[in-house]
Amino acid sequence: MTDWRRIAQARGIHLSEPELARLAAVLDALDTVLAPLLLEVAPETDPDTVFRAAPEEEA
Amino acid sequence: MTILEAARLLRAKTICSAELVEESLRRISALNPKLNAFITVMEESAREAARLADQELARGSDRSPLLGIPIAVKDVFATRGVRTTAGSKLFAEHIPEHDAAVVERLAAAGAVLVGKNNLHELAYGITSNNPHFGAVHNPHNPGRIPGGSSGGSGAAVAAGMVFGAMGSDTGGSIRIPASYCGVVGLKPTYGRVSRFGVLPLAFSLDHIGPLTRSVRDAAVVLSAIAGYDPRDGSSSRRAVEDYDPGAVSASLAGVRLGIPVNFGLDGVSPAVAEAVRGAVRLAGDLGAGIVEVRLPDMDAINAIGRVILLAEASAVFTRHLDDRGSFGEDVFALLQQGRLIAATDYVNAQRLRSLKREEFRAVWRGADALITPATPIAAPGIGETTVEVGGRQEDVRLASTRLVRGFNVLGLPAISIPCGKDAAGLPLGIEIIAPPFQEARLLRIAAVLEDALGFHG
Repeated sequence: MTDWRRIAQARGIHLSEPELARLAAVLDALDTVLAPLLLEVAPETDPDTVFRAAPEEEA
Repeated sequence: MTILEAARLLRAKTICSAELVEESLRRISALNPKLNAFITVMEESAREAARLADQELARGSDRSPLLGIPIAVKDVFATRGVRTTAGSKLFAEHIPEHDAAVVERLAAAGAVLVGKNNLHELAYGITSNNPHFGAVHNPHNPGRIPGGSSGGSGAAVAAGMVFGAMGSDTGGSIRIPASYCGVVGLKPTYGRVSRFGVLPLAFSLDHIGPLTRSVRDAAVVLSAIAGYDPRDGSSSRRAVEDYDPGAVSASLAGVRLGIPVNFGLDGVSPAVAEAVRGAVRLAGDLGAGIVEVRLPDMDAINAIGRVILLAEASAVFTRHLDDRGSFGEDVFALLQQGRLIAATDYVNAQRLRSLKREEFRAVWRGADALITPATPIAAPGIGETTVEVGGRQEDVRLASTRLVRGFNVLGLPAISIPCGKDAAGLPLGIEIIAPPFQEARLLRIAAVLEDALGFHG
């Protein structure tokens, strides 16, 4: 399990214990769903983000 | 009255735009103290725009069915010289120097902007229980939420304050208020409508679309706002189609409507399940081929969307993240969650998104469109944080978003239309989803179903 408390401390994020507990529960749940899926992702799979080296009208 | 009905009356000279605008302002004045659907009302500029529209109509101009029609926009759309708060303390006095692209296009079509709608703070939530500008109330029951984040837009249309209102949708924020308020809410394909001038929440998930009283009105608005805009990096150059579903159509012959066997009807209230099954039966009676389809893992797609949303939203508001006093409790918590997402998790979520988009293409080999419930429940009460759905307690936000968020991740066009009411008289909505850039098909199917169902906003 990820230690969200330490990550928060290291990043200078100041949250109370109950807040951290709520956040950790959500993030752990997301991790549980996504971690197994990532085992099937091929290295050449690019992320689905939009980036253009120049605006389209200049191409 | 719908936009198209009002447009006909304007051209028949039975009414004039000034009268429509005065009636809109009168209803806002009468109902806004109770519903809180507007943050800003623009009486003076609306009256002037109506006067010009009437002059144009008198000259026989017919540039768009929107000419002279009172509309509103969610308060995340920049309006030149008019306060644009995003429902946030951060922007409480922000006055933009330009209009959002959609505001420009609506003005070019002759629509009359009467005001700016209240919303969930920063469009980051689904209750529209805004800590800075007050809660928006559902016109069907003021003790209930209107949904969100475009809650003021949904409430304003449902209450007859305006004929249509613009919303933004990052994880269901147009379709949820449409479902809870009993109006039509259209989220077009990602890239179909320019996001320029709309305060981002999550730039790769944000969509712009209308809330209206009928499907044909949604088509009218989409026709006015769709199209390429070089100021939005995600804007598509694909040609804009004719979105008019036609005046009368009573057949879905030849349409294959997909009913997901693994998504939608599990974990919804009995009233929602019954209303959706009724709509599906009706679609079959209208000639549609009803086909069972299996979708890719929608729980995984929702989780992908939540990681992307958390990371992008916290990136957008980076400079304010330590300013706890500027945010409501729920939005502050979400922004802090986003700070804890690792860069690799965000990039991997976008990689998984790419895979799921490809996986989803197979669905369209077996169906022309999909039908699901829009929300698993009717509108929850204001202040409720959990609801009982299918015999178990569920977080209100997660319950409200779980049937709609995935289609933001996939960028697909989707529409919520009213399909009935529950025992308490609260509206219920169904969602129809189509392949990318197939808005014309989506609107035609929705219009036929709307006519047959007989539930209008």
